[in-house]
Amino acid sequence: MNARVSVLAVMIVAMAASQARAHEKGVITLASGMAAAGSTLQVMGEKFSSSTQLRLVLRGALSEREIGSAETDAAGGFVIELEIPAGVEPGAYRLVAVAPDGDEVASADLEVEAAPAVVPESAGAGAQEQAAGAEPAASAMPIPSAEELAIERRWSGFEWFVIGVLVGGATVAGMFLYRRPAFAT
Amino acid sequence: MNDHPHGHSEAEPTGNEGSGFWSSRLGLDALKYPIPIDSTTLGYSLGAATFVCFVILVLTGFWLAQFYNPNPSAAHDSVVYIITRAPFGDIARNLHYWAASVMVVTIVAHIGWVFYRRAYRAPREITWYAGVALAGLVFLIVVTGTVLRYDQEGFEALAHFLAGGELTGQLGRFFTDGFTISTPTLARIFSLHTSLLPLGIVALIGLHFWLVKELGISGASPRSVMFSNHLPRIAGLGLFLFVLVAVLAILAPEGLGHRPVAGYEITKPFWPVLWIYALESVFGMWALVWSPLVVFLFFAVVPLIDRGSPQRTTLVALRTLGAALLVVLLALVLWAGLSPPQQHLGM
Repeated sequence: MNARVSVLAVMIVAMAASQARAHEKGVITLASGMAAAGSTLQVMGEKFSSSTQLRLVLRGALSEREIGSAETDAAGGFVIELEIPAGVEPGAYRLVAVAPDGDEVASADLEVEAAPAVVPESAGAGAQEQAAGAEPAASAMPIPSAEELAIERRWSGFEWFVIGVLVGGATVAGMFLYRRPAFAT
Repeated sequence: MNDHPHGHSEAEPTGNEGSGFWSSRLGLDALKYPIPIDSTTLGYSLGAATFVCFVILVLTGFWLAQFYNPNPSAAHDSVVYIITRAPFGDIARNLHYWAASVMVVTIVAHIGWVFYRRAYRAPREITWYAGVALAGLVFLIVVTGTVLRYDQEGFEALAHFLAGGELTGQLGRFFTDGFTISTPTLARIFSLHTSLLPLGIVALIGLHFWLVKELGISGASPRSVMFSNHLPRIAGLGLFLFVLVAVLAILAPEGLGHRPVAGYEITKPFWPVLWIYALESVFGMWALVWSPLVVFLFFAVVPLIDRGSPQRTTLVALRTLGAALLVVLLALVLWAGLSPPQQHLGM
């Protein structure tokens, strides 16, 4: 019995150790914590496994998109200029570095701002300078709405099961408890 | 031995001999005290109903806080995430919303019942004031909660919240953007809603329960029962209340508005606050400050007016005033709910 327990413990430790040695956790540092959609941002990485291809994923509360990649050098580091796609919605995100096996190995917070207003080059230098400090064009102004968002709600089977058990159980237990006499007979 | 203020007769035997193990280790004997038999009716159970709603709010609120992001640029998205992707997120949010709504109803009913029974009279004045303070904290927690959704309605609620702080000068500085630049106001409101206000409520509930136990319930019947025997009925009532909240949550899930656009007032607030909204429409922004004060001032003077042996006319006037206040508040809620949204900020 003791021998079996010892073998099992060694196996568990070996599995955990093998998992730990799969790849190193690193650090990514951004030149700035804020970037406009459509701009480029310098990203520096260090302490990763050497010569490893990392995917860089921009992860928000509602969306996730891969926006670049980086290959680490012999020291496990990299420096790249990463383009933030123009279509990214303004908001708070995490830039996540993902190893080839799918594990997240580093992340950094990034706030994405709206892309600045664009003035055609043919408008001349004066117009462009004016546009830099001007109010956004009328078509770019957000329109307020008092309506509710059209949100698709989908409760999983497990969620329905749990709420069903809670409601059913509460009903039965409530009837049992409420009908007990208030004093001993 | 009976040291109960009402001098009730000895209660029936409990028949709970089998629970000695837990009773001795958890001090459950403290629950074996006599209460008037008429206090086992629904009217006297409204306080317990309010407490059950609070427990539902704490449990669901804890879960929601795991997914909510109080950063203004992420708050709205995090609420959409809660509704669409967080495990049990939509369920928890709907339970939270309906428990809050039901809790406001039970609080108003509980205050009304205590007022009608004149249970604020000596020696229960402190119990009454603890209850009034509880109602005040619940009012604040409702207001802060509506801000957190951070859709157009939530943003306008925040604007009113900040406007109220600005109107009260240095007294209201804590409730303004100018209090600090180190963190957004939404994050501070989140902290209020999830930490300071619930802690204050728990402390006052403890005081309130302690005083109710020590001073007794002001029932009229000379017959009594043990509170420990009444507890299962209260628990059953609480479970029925949970079922009600759950059914409402399933049948009428709470929605979410669009991302907010600053500078507009096109929505109306959460229904318990509509009476203030209605008064703002008539009297301007200052109604945001004085209208809650008027209501709580009325609650504060009630035990001072009705004490000793007041004249019948005084009693009739007080009860009429209380009833009129309730009717007026309900009428204001109804009127504001049926009227179109109005511009208040800057009035």
